[in-house]
Amino acid sequence: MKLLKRILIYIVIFLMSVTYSNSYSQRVASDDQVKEIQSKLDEIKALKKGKPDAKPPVPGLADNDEKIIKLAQEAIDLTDKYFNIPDDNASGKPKYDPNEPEQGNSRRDGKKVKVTLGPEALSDSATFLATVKTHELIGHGSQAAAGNWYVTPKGMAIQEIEAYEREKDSAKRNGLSQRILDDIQNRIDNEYKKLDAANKKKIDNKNYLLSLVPPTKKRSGVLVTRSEVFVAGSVLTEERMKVTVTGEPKLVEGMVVQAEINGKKTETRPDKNGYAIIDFAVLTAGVAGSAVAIIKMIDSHGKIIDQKNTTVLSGTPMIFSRPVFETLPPNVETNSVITIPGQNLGADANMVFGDQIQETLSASDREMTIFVDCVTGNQPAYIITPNGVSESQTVNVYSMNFTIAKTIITSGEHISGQVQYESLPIGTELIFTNNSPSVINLSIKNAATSGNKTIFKVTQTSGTIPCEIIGRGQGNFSLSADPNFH
Amino acid sequence: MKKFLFLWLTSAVLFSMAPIQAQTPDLSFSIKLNKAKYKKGDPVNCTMTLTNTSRNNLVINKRFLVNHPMGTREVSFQIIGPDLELVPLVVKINASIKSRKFGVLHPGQSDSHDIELSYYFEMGKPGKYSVVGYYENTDDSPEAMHLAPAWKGQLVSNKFIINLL
Repeated sequence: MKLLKRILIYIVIFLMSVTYSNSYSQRVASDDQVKEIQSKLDEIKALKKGKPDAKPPVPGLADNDEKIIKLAQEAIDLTDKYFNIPDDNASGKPKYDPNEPEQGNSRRDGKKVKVTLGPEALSDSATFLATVKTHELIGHGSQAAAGNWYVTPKGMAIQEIEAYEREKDSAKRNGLSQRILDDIQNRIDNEYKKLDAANKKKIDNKNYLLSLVPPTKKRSGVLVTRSEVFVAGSVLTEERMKVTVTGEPKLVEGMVVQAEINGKKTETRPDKNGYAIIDFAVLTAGVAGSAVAIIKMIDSHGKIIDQKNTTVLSGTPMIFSRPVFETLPPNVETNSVITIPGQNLGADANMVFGDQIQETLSASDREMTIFVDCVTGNQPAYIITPNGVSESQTVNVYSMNFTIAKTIITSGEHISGQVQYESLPIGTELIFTNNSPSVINLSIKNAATSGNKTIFKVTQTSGTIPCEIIGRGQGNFSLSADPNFH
Repeated sequence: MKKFLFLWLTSAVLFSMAPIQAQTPDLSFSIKLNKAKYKKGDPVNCTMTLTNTSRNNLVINKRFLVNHPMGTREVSFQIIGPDLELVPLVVKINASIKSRKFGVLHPGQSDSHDIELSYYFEMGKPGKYSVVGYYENTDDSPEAMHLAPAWKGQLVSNKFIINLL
């Protein structure tokens, strides 16, 4: 009896799985339903072609002719119904737009999508039309529903690949022609080649999420202790430049950034993070060749706190080209400021280390300055702009923290200190400089001392180096530690 | 020799400073928005126009597909909003990689296409917007069309300033 019960359960499970796989792997629409849609599409084709050989000849109708619009909308509505395309993610019914130059598009509308289909979506077959709708409603619709609507070129490329993969699934179910399948694959390949190696790997694993972490804005070092305006070294006449003012948060409040070229001025107020954008197009009318712009950081009393110069070059940014940047140093320290020359960068450029967007302090077409703040270790580094994503480079981000109990000593006193480091390449020399040799002696185990330099060779990528400071006299002292990568 | 070297270097520098031709002598690209001031919710419509300014017939790609600069497209827009931030494209485009819409433009002839910019771009904030269009074609027409090689290159349009009230 028990055995019979078990066999019955297996049979039920088997039947359920067969039913489910059939509903998923086979076309939903019946042959008659497909024919009904196809007849509308054929009628559109015939009306657009006209009868050039008839006497008198009958001219073909345009895509925006009322008859075509009516038939197209009917074909679209029937496809929704017969192919049972889920409309949970649709904001209103998909609409035919004769002005749409291609197959269609999806516009985010909250957590749903507004879908527009063009004449190209109706130019092949009923199953092709169903496939295009799958791309929009299931592909992009589910992206909107999940709250993932990327607007960067990289994100858009990733989401197009995901939507085309949905099309491929639908195509397999609905039996599309090899020509259309090849076209879908070409489109996937075209988007894929725009991505960097790290993202290609994610796509290979069917991961379509762009998991970029926003900049930490954890201000430290020069960004807090020094009042400074960060600007790019050059800017084109027809572009904007991102600048940042730094310093004590209270000082940054009420600050104004002023740019001046040949007596012409423009002012802007930085936001709470100290960021401001300067539009050079308003300053550079009549500037030919090159000029120098002075960018001033002015406090609420009108006092100039800092000022920098920028070379203004005549030109328009090249928005069709992906960003490129010069080779980064192989080792970069966290909490440091680095300037990266490049091309096609622009005010909206962001440098990414691993999955972490770095804080952009200044950026123009040819140069950007960033504050490095991310996890340590080897990781891909690339730049994203609204116009594209650069090729990746590999960079090793390391950290080093030198702490000493106090910086005042008496004769004969022993003070301990240590350097904690992460991700330094083995063989790196850590050079300790004693800036107060008349006040202290420095002693580090397994290190060689010559003059006021003590050199420790790193044998592990991460670790702690204890050091002992012995007072020779009385007073303040200072020590520094710098890596030498050879 | 020194003079030649100076001239060569100067021209090289100037060339590198002007990466996109504003207009070539043979083809021009312009944009026109339907109004200068828009009330909240008004559609912002734009007409894109290619004009043959040469003395010869030109085969042009007239699909006028608008997308982001890295996507499949002929046209991209750079719209700077009231806060000087770039206004993002919020529409995802499903299109063939290669255009099938090519045609001949006779000397002086133009071809235009209309687009509702406020559908493609998030233009909700009131204030001043500057709009510039970029046109690019890299392909010839499909063989079946039996047309001469198409015009290839990049063009930047005039700048249009509008106000959203």
